[in-house]
Formats: sequence, C-alpha cells, structure tokens
Amino acid sequence: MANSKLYKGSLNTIILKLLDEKGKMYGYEITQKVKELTKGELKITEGALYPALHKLEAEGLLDVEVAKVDNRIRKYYKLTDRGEKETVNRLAELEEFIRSMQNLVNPNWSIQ
Amino acid sequence: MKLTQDHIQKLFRFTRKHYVEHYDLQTELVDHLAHGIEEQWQKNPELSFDEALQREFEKFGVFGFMGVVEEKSAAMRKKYLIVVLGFFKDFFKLPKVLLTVFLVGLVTIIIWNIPIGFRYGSVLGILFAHVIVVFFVLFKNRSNNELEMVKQGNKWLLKDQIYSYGNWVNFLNLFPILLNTGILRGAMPMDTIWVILGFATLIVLTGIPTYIILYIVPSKAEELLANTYPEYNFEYVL
Repeated sequence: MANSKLYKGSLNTIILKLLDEKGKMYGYEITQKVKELTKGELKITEGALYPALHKLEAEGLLDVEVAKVDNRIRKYYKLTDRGEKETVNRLAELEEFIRSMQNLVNPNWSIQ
Repeated sequence: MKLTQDHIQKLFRFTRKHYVEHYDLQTELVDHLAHGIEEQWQKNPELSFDEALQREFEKFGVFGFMGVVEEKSAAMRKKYLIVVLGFFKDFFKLPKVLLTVFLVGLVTIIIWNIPIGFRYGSVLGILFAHVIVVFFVLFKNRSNNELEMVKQGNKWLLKDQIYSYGNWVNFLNLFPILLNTGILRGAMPMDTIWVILGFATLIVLTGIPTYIILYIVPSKAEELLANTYPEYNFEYVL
C-alpha cells in the first residue's frame, strides 16, 4: 500500500492542477475527482480535502462563487490570477521533485 | 432521487449537532453531504436517508467535521490578519505616514511637557486608558453583533473574527503589566528625548492597530463579508 504521507504533501498541487484544467469546481466534485485520480493508492478523507481547499482560499490562490443548485447553495472554487501563477510554480516544483527522487532511486531511468 | 427541503434542513441541524456553528461552513458541508447521499441513492435507492447520511459522514474520518472546522477557523484568522496588516501598512505609506509621524511628534511633545517625575505614570495611564477604552468598545460592538446575528439567524466565521478582534486586547494588556515592573524606571529614565520618542512610538504603534481593529475593519465589515462570502448577500429561500 502506498504511503499516504507522500501524497498528502502534494494534495494542494493536485487541487490546483485540477482547477487549472476544469476552470471551476465545487467541493464534492473536487474530492471525488482527487479520489478517482489517486484510486487504490491512498485514502484521503473529505476531512483532509476541505481544509486544503480553505487554506488555499485563505492564501488568496482560490476564489469562490456560489450558485443555487436544486434546493441548496453550492460553492464553487476557481483559481485567482495568483493561483494560476502558483499552479505553474508548484507543478514545476513537483516535477523537479519527482525527477530528483527518480535519480535518487533509479539513476538510469528518466521520465523524459 | 433528489433531497427535499426537509432533508436539507435536517442536514443543517446535523452539521450544527456536530459542532459546525458557522453558516458559511454549514452550507458547504450540507451541499457535500446532500450530493453524497443523492449519489448513494442512485446506486441503492432502498437506502434510508439517515443511513446514507451516516455513511457519508464516516468519510470525514474519526474526527468528523472537527478538522474541517479547525482549519477553516485558522484560514479565517489568517485572512483577517492579512486584512488588518493591509490597513496597518497604509499608515506607513503616503499620505497616512504623515499622520503617523504627526501623532508620534504630538505624543512626544505632550510627554516632554509633563514633569519628569510624572512621565512614567502618565505613559502607564495612557496605556491603561487605551485598554479600558478597547474593552468598552469591544463589549459594545460584540453585543451589537450578537443582536444582529440573532436577527439575521446565521453566524459567519469572519464576522465573528471581526468582532472578536483577534485577541488584540490580551496583547494590549501586556504592555502596562510589562512596563509596571519598576525596573524600566531605573534603567531607562524618561529624561531624554529619545526615550520619550520611543514611548511615544509605542503608544502610537499600539493605537493604530486598535483604530484599525475597532473602527476601520468593522466599518468595512459588510464589504469584506460580501467579498469573502458570495453567499452572504445571496437570497436563500428556504
């Protein structure tokens, strides 16, 4: 079983990347998509995903908008301008990290 | 199968029962739970509402909503601090920096004109008076906020933060206590302009955040809340 700690460190980057691709998403949608993407590898609970979203929002990387859907209010998250720049940075950092780890673990193998 | 308005109300009560007291977080969790329950019903229409809810709640882990509530509060504290810091920085940029310099100068002149023997007592007096005024305004505004909250019916996390002033009062209390040691009197007699200037700066630098926290931020509360919570002005028909 994969070590979920390794994933947790990248959770924010995964969320940013998802929003970068999809434009705007709501909490449930994000949690399901993240679970789907990391399927079988780890179990991230909703209890971990919402705090990550709120933290990114407080950092000014995410913006929210609401809409009335069915008989309830739905909160959508989208990237701010700063969030878009940060996504590029964090993805680059993550790729760099993966490359370094791969060099460390298997020097003869490259993702490029 | 879709949830009824009754179910939604039940979900709001459920979040409140699990210590989510703020409306901003309640709405988000209610939508999440509702979505989850509807999805379960698609796969298993026989499932009861309570059972589906329980299953959905379990996905939040053993601590339930606790982690979400804590993190959200921390995120809001951070947001509040960023807002206050933003206003604070304004006092060190043109044109407001002129006011800051003027105030430091004014307090310096006032202390300078007090006989040496009374200077420490006067500075302590100003700082104590500051704390008392803060306490007075704090309780007045807080009860107003609670009244409004009762009228409005919902509690907003950032609003609570705005009217609880981020523990500024506790921090303020420290100054007179720290200064009242008697040690400073001997070590740093207030007989030179530099020492007086130092104390005048301290008074002004504690006064500015008080002014921001007690007057500027609450006066812009509605604007801040509307920016933070798009649902704040959202007509929510139950």
